[in-house]
Amino acid sequence: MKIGIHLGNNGASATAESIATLAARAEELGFDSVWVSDHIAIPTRIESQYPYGPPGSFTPEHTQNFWEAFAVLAFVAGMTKRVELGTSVIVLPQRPPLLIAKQWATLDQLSGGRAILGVGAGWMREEFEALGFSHTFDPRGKATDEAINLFRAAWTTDGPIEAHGEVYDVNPVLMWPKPARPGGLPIWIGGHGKRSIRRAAELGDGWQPLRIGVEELSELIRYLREQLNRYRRSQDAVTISLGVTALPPGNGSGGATQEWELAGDPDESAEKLKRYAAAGAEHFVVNCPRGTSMAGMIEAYESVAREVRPRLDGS
Amino acid sequence: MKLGIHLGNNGASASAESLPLLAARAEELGFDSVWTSDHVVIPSSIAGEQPAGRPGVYDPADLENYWEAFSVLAFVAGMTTRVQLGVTVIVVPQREPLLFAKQWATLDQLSGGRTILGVGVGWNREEFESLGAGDKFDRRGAATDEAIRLWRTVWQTEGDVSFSGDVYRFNPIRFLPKPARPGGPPIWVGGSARPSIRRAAQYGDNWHPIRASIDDLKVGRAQLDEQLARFGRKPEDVTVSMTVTAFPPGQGTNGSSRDYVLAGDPVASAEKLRRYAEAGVDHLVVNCARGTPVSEMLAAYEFVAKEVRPRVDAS
Repeated sequence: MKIGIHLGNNGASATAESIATLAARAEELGFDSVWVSDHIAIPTRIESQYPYGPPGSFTPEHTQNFWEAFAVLAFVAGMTKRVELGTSVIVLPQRPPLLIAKQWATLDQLSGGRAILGVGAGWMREEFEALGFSHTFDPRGKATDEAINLFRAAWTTDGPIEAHGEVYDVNPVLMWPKPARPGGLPIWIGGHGKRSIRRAAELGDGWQPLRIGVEELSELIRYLREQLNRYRRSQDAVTISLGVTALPPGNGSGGATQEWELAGDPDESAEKLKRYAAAGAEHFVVNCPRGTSMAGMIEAYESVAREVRPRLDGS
Repeated sequence: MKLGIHLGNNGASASAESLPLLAARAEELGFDSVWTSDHVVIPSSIAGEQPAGRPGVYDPADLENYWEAFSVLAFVAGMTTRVQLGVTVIVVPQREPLLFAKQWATLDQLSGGRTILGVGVGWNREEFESLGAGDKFDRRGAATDEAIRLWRTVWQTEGDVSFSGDVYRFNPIRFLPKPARPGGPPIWVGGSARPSIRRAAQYGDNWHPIRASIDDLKVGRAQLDEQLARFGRKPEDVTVSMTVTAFPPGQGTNGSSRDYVLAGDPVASAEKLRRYAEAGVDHLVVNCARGTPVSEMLAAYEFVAKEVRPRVDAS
């Protein structure tokens, strides 16, 4: 089982100091990976429905300080040696796909093959519009599929590549460097809707749902397994990761925590992760609630590394 | 006068070893800055000819191994502490300006305010088309002007910010983080043609011609001063930089009569740099001929750092 931490590249606590400090601590504490999330421009008025929290929980006030995901990972790659570097997730259709393909191939090379490209189709129409990608919002599922196929072509084809899809049209171009790993870097599909799971089964190397209970996860994994059969892929072709939340000490230790929240008693937290692992989760991405101070994040992650993890590995 | 070196992020010699090695040597040798150049995709063939100043037949093999400019700088930012980090130059209209503004602001913050943003309008229509920016090619000058205004608007506006231009527009958003330096990083305008000089006078912090003779540079500086007066700015508002080419000891002597070639005799090379400084150049970027092996790039840069520079500083 692998465990990674989110670098908290958004919210009031994100600073140059916090990002560099958390990345360095991740290596020292033996975490397997570091993660960032992606928004670029936060619209003042958001009518689109945020799918990963209650209505009204995604507000400009809380999310406006969003450090650009790729820039953070490339910087962190330069200051670390060991941890994997992932996105949870990049909103694919609001960036040009060949630029993503080139940036990630470069990052994978420079980092010695440590990049994990987590992708999602996005949900916020207003942000797509601000970025000049309003035309890819409605067909964003199709755009995501086409972009993934374009990445793989760019990463594995020695000669010219071209693509003539419904969303993207590319005349023959050459794309070097290739990623460090032959065949390209792993692509993990975010989201726990059925469309995302089908995409993971068809095109992904990983699937990364966020903050769901064990029962729901088991049910969705059954669906993933069916879909893997449908696409004639092996059952271990897709790594299953899960986003969980660590509450800093003093928060949420009253016992009224959700299944995906780690707080207070390390035995109880370890038990939660073991249940998820038994259901099929292989790589946990631990974050802290938005707005947690840097000191609070460090404390929460230290507690996972020193108190919770040893109880998992020993079992 | 400041001296920087180009990391050689394109051509056969660019690799995961060469880029960190050259960046580390730049810090050790006391250079002031490191530089990358920008192409994202290399079209297999192009319809037109290369523009003036780029003689020769278009051969994609010269360009295809092009490591992405921004990724390399962000990685290098993470592994260095002192050198400035510049691009010579980013092709502005083939990147979406809000995404780019956010990536660059993030890098400026993470690097502690070490970035220099060199800009150009581009020349390769087919590359624009492959990146989904085909509609910007015929108005690439106007798009570049507008993108610079857009960047500065989002970098400088607290709270809600919107933009309404002929090429780019968006509804109110929030944009944080701002760059580390108030107002944003310095923008260097590349190119020797009159529109580039006008753009430097109107929007730039620095004019950045590539491989101009000392006489051409003086002519350009006079044109720049005229244009500055037109825009109500002072001559000291826009500094001048230049790119020169260095050869390792024993090579390049047949081109060494050119002002912008540093080869062979360190005394003659130092004299050239002094004359550029007298003509107003305050930052020189030293590159090597495309395809130079890494060992020879290192030798050329060591020649500049150890043999040429002391002779310039001593005078």
